[in-house]
Amino acid sequence: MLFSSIAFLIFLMIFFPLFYLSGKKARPVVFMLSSLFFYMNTQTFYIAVTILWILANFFFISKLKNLSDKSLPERSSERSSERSSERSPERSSERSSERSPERSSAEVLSAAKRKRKKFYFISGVCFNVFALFFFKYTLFLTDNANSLIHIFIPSFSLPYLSILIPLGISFITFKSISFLIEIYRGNYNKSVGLFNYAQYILFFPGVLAGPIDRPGKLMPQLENLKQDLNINDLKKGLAFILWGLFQKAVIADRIGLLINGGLNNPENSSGGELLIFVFLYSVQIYCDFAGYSNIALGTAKLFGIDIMQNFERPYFSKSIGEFWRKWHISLSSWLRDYLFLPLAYKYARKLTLRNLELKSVERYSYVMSVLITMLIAGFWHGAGWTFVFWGFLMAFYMIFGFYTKKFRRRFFAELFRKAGFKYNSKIKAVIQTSVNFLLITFAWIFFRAESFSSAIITIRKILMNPFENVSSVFSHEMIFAGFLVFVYFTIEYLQNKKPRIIKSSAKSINAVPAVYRFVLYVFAAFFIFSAGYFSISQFIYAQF
Amino acid sequence: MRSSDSIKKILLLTLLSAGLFVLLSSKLHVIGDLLIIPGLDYYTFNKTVRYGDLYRMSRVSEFKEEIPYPPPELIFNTMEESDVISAGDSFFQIPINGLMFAAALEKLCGKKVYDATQIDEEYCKRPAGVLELAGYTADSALFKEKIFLLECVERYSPERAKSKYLASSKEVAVKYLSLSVNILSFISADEWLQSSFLLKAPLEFKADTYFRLFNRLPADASIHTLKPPMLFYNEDKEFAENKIDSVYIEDVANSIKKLSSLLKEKYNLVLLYVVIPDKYSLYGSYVNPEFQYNGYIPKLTESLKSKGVYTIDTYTLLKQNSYNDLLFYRSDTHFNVRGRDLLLGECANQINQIIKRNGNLK
Repeated sequence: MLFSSIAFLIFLMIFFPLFYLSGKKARPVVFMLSSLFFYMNTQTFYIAVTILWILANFFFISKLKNLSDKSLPERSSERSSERSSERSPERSSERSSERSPERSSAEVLSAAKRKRKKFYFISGVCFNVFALFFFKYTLFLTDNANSLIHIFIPSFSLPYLSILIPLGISFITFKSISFLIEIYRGNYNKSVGLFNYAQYILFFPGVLAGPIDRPGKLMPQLENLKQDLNINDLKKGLAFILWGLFQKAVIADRIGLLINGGLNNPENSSGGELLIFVFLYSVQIYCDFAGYSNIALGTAKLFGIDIMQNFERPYFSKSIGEFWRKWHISLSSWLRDYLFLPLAYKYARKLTLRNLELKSVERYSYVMSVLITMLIAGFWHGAGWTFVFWGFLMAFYMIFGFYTKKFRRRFFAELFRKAGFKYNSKIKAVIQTSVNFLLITFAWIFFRAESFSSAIITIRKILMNPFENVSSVFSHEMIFAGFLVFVYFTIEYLQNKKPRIIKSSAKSINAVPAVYRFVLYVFAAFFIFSAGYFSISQFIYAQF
Repeated sequence: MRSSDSIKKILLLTLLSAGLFVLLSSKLHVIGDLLIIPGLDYYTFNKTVRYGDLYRMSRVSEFKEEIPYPPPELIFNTMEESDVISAGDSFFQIPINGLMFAAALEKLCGKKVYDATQIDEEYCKRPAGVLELAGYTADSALFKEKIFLLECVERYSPERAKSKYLASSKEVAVKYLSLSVNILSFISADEWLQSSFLLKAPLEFKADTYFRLFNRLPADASIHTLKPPMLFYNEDKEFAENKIDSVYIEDVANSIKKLSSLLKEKYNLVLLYVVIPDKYSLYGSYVNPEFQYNGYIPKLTESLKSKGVYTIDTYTLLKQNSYNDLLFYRSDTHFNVRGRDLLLGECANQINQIIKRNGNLK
């Protein structure tokens, strides 16, 4: 069910009031029902697969939880004995000699438990990764294996399995793994019930395309779904939903209709057209995904639940690293915490053992960690080589930036000095933001392309004749779309650079009498309804 | 209870009632049908007129066209007694002037036709797989050699032909795995609401304003011409303008040949493959005078014939008759009575020829 569809509006019209009209004890059940209805509305059969998935993960979580709970008192007793031994070494040596057989058996037991805990943790992660591979990548792997086999045995092909991908599989996997890691690391120590765990995984505002909220933030809220309707939450929720619909239905889908034909068949478009389409795609994918995230945020808020902001004006970033801190924040922080940092630590430790210089250790571990993380990020987005290459490009940008940081600083400082500008001027920020945006847009070409050859054709045409037939693009609607994009990014610029203006505008709107404010909101809703495209295209990120 | 709580409760109850009313109306025809705009409910056959599928998407008044839609005559032959099994997509699933394609074919050529598509829509996407599930075997004495008429609209033809499911009898149809329970569907509620009187005025106002401001349709069917007023699918345009080479055609033809061999060997069926041209392939020059058709159907026909697969060059057949005649409805993706009859005549002709050539056909 699309968030930008009338179907979703009807869904909300039923479950939102039902939630608050039911008794406090029944609210978690109503919320669970809404999540189940939402999920089953798209793929009824796959709820069975998802429930099995939840049960399997819950098994691993329970095992981990049991082992963590039991190991705590042992560890604390060990710690207290260690502390006491620090205070009086003599006495402790006596005690230790008295209790050494017990202690050693406790240590052995504890080591065995840690081993078991590690075993369940690794099994849980492997289960999720294999399940994700099975559903999402079997076709891709069979296709590639067949291409390879055909080189040697043209008549032989591996059979293709008919597999439908369960809804939101990539996000469910990451949430499941996140839960396992948080429990394994001891960051989430509260008891977990099956019902609340299922509530966390099936949480309907985020099941399609995130945000991938950590259990620490979401679970306590889901365990306590007893709040009454709060008018402020309702207002904020509706505001987020309206803003999200503006991004998705008015901007992203409008742009989509204007550019999809050209980008699907770059052979039939001129270099100039493609150049404009590629830039507009950058806007489309951002507004599409940010729109989805805002609708998800607003919907959760209607039910009194706070979820994380997934975007923070990423196109105003001055570097690729900053972009990734502001784009799809829940995914990038997931990758940073669970992949990049452990990898960087692992490489640093390995390289330190080889007695390398600290600088080299830092560099190598950074390069390897970035490369692996971004390649996995690319592959996670889609079962295709274009996605992997997109991930590689992002890694390349970051590594190149890392190695040339000092050189670039010196070079541009000199350039600015010669041109008579102050180095830390606004011009520098504009140049950095523009170059960053160009690099990201270039990478999106591979992300959007249906194949490598299609991406290459697009790039070749743009480079060969970037202004060819540009004027043909500027229809009335393209100009309207351009105007909307301009308005949108002006607001983002003000949010980014002049937050005071936004705050004072919000204050002055709040100061207006309620009747006029109501008229204003109705007008905004009417504008979105009139200018938006509804129920026409899936959110781009929902396909991942 | 405080008054603010009462107001909240009243608002919530109103919202819930409205939501439930819409949901129930879309499920219960007794209530729902009363509020539907006649002709917009596409799949209910007991209407006298319907509007074109492209109009239903755009709702721009310039393209409003009433298409006669009398209740269809259905045929109930069994698979065993039939001479021809026909399967196809919407061209075979929607009655034109009260006749389904299979029924019209039976009337014209005098052979018994089994309308497989009415039984299972998946026949056109995975014929062998569905035949297998239906327990159809060549060994059975009941199942003598028959003709399998497989229709596909042009824009989906390559995709379906190259799909690994088309010529595979081992695949379990995805449909059976992805059973969707209608009672849970909010999407049908969405469709009902858009077809009802409740949203008629705002939707039509939006569509007309939009069209006048930007000269563009507010939906996927975003291609139109006003001389004469006609609507086209975007997908049709993309397909017809896409350049295709001989490797591409060979690839498609080989897949169809594979299906033809499988049907013959395993089920004793002779394949007659028919691709219906997209509306844009025939009338694209109305939108863009420089439009040049990529020649998909004539090229595929040639290649299939060289491989011994029975087929019809429907493009050339319809194009020859399209200059002075509209063969498709203006606001719909499907052919009209005239277009259907032209194709019907050629299909009947081919079927009779195949029967003549293959003496052991029923």
